[in-house]
Amino acid sequence: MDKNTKYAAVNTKIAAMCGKLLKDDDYRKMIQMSSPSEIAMYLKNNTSYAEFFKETDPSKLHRDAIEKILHECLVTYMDKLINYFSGEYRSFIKCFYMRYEIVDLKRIARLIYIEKDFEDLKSNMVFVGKYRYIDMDNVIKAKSIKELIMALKDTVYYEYVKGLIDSVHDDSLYRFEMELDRAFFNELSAKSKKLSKTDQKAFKDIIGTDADMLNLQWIYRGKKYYNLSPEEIFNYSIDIGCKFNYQDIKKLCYMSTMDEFVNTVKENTPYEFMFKNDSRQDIYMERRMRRYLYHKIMNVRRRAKLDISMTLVYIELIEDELQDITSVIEDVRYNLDYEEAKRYLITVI
Amino acid sequence: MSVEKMEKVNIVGHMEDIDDVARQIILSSSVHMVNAFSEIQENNFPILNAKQDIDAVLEYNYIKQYTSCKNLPELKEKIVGMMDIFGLKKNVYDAHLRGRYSYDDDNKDISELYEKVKSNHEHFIQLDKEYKDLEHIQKYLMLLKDKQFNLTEALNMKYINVKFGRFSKANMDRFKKNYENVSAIIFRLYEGTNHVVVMMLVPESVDIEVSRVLSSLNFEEFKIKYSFEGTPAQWMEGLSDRRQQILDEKKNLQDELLEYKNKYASKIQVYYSRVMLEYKVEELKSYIACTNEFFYLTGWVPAHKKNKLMESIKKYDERLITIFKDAPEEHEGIQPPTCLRNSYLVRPFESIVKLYGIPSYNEMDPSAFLGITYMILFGAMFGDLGQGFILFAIGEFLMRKNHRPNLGGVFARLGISSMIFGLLYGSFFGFENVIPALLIRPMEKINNVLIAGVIFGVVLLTIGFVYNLINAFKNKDIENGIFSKNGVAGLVFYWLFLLLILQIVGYAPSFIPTGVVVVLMVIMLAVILLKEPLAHMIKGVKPLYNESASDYYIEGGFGVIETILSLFSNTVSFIRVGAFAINHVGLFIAFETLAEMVSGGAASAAILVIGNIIIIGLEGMIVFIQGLRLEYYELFSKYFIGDGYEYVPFHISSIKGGASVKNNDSFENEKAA
Repeated sequence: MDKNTKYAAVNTKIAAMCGKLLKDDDYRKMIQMSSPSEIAMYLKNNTSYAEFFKETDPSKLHRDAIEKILHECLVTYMDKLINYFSGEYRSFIKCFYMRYEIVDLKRIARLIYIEKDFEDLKSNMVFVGKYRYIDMDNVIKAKSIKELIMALKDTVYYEYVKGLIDSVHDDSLYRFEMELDRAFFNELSAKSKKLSKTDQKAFKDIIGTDADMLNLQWIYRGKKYYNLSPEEIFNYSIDIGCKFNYQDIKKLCYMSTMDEFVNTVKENTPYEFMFKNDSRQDIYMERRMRRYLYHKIMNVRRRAKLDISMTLVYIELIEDELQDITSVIEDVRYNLDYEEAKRYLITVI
Repeated sequence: MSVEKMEKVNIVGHMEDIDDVARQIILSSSVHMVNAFSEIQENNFPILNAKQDIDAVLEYNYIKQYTSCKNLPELKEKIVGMMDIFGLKKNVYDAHLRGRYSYDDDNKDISELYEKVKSNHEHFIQLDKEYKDLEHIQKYLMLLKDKQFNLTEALNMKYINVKFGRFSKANMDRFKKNYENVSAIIFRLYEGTNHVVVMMLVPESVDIEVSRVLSSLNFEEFKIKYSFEGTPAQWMEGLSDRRQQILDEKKNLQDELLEYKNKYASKIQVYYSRVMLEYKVEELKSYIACTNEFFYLTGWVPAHKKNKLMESIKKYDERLITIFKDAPEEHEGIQPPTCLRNSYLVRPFESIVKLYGIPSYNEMDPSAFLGITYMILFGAMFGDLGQGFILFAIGEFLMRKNHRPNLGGVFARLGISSMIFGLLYGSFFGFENVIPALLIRPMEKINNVLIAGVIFGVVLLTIGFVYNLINAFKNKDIENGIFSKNGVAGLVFYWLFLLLILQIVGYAPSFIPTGVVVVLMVIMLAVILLKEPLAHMIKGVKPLYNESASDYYIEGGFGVIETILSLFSNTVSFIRVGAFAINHVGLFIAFETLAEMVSGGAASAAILVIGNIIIIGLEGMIVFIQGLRLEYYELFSKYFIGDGYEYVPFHISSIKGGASVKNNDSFENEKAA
């Protein structure tokens, strides 16, 4: 299909939807508020989130409920985008639902793991089963990781996690989560290969950068905190990177000391910002990664090419925004002062 | 004919009766369950009459969702295990479920019964498992069978472990990239589209490290638990011997148990039916709310099944509070489900309506209209005595042999209609000279046929309008019923439009001057354009427009143009009814000409047969689709919304009727003894 017919409409839609994103000023105001429900009130009265809060009474909402509503927004926004795509492209976009679906599944797995009874779990699961067939009832009923895996039968995840059914190790939760993530990245990588050449490039540019950083973060944490063997670290790394191929990753995995690893990253890659060697390096790492990506996608957005890039930009932007709102709510909840609070945001205010 | 009247039933009862009541409700298959807990939370559960049972009202405050405490899977496992070993069919019989019984007694009885055959059953399972494992081993051996080495010795090596298993392709690639760092020797035995099967030699000393790496790659290890002698080829022999042996052993076990089987088979069958029902009971209970003493259950019952329900719970009547409420009394928002009930003739056409949407509770059920008109449309387009009979036969076959009552029913009815029109057209397997035409031969009077199609269309569209008027009247929807393009305004406009055309062509009596007709039409269009403000004015709703006035008029302006176009095209669309009737004849003439050109007895007969098959298959399908198109697009869009949901009573599926009553009796006797 001609790129004009394919992307003119969706890019216009995205431009319009981007216009509804929160402004810096919104964040400034929200940070200074005193309670989560006040933020909910603000979102309801002053932002495009109004329609999602329409039927609620913000003063009665606490954090969980607000986050749930925000997640529902995310689904709605994604739903709007997906209608512009068909065939291979549609199933590519659908992969991004997996990202959130996995969050839900992980949450269930953890609740099972700590043997907590969960009420109203179903209503809190926003993503599970949204676009792939997942037997919600069984997933919710699962009392053990094994039952959870059985409930995932006939889903894309089953192939990945079925090996863990009879696993008796203590690390089965960890493996379960890792396999879900692997499922996401493998699916994404497989589906991205069906895109056109220019779209693949755009994909690599944006999602690949994210993958690079995630890899670095994983290697760093794997070495520093989890004491994993290089082989394991390598095996769980992601394939769809932009700057690194597997040999680079492997080299990084097999670096013998932390210093060597950090220095190599600093000298040879654009990601030196991740390791500033300050005391808050680990806390800020994730935010720094997102902020780097944020600047990257803002650049891409300015170019506004007629390819998949705008769609990816929007998916990342809305993800950032929700994360920021969540952070703001937490900031307010823990009474952080303004200067401290704004440091945890991806958006620079 | 129309949507069945629904009543809401609310039942309050004592917790100890819940199982029995639930069973009876399931067996009566009459209640569409609604979650009682959320009903109560939303205050839809009728406030109980305190006189009836004060305790039940008091406990109202401690209500919670029901949580199950039965261990059904275990019970089912036991029964299914016994059924497997006895070789019994897993059927549910209605007769087994009647009468009162208690789950706990059953449970005890089943467990006792199971104890008797337990050791045998466990042995049986174990053999089964071994058999499957061996099958699996054999698959690996197939990959190794040409290799000349002693597998037994290899597996027993002290310092090297041999592992078999498989990777997914992606993980294998990843593994390959890192071969040099893994302390193991890997043989690839087989490469499928998604998986790679490998054999690995791992030194004992690094086994733990390698295992961790393997598990991070999601390696599915296959442990070989059984041992045979010699090379893989020799293993294969030993293995197939052993498998034969297992089969024999299983047979022996079953023979040993023959005595038990004769004694208990019928009893187990009864228990199986009950356990399957019990599963349903638990499912039903997930809809109820309860306190420690009472349960609260709510659901929808169609009026004609109300007696059936009352009958089935009569036994518990004095211990239950049953409240029925008419649907319209219900608060707004929650609609009752839709239960369609139609006569034998049009029942299969319900499935065609459901393809489009389920009528909502307040809507007319269009099944009858659709069924009758669809039959006429199909017959008119595909009128042939012989071919119609074949369709009828196919339909009957589907209905009786393939258990496809809807599809088969539709086919059979369309076939009959086709046969009737075949008589009217005088067509038999395409030949026009076998039987006389009772009405008309389409090919000879093409114009008449086409015009008849359009006239028929006008009638159908008008009925469609009437349906919409009734629906709008039921819903008290002034805007849609009077002012919209599908309401009175639209209907008047449509008839004026027809009158105008007839006058222009010169067919119609000119008792109304053309000018007046045009003026009236413009007025009607204006009414359609102003439907929202007019409706709001009558109802006294403010503001007059739901959106901004300019938006409304831009949209409305296009709507008016669309109304004119669509009424015209909808009407002309029915010309296809005539066209296909002619087409049907034409297609056969083509084959007939071909057959004449061949002019050989057998060859031309063959062409005629093939021609008929093509006409039935291809043209039959086209006509089927065109008819559907007329129904869905031209007519449903006028009057049918279809946003209801279907009435699905709680019932146990695949139940076998009264069978094995004898067994049941013997079982009762046995119990008595």
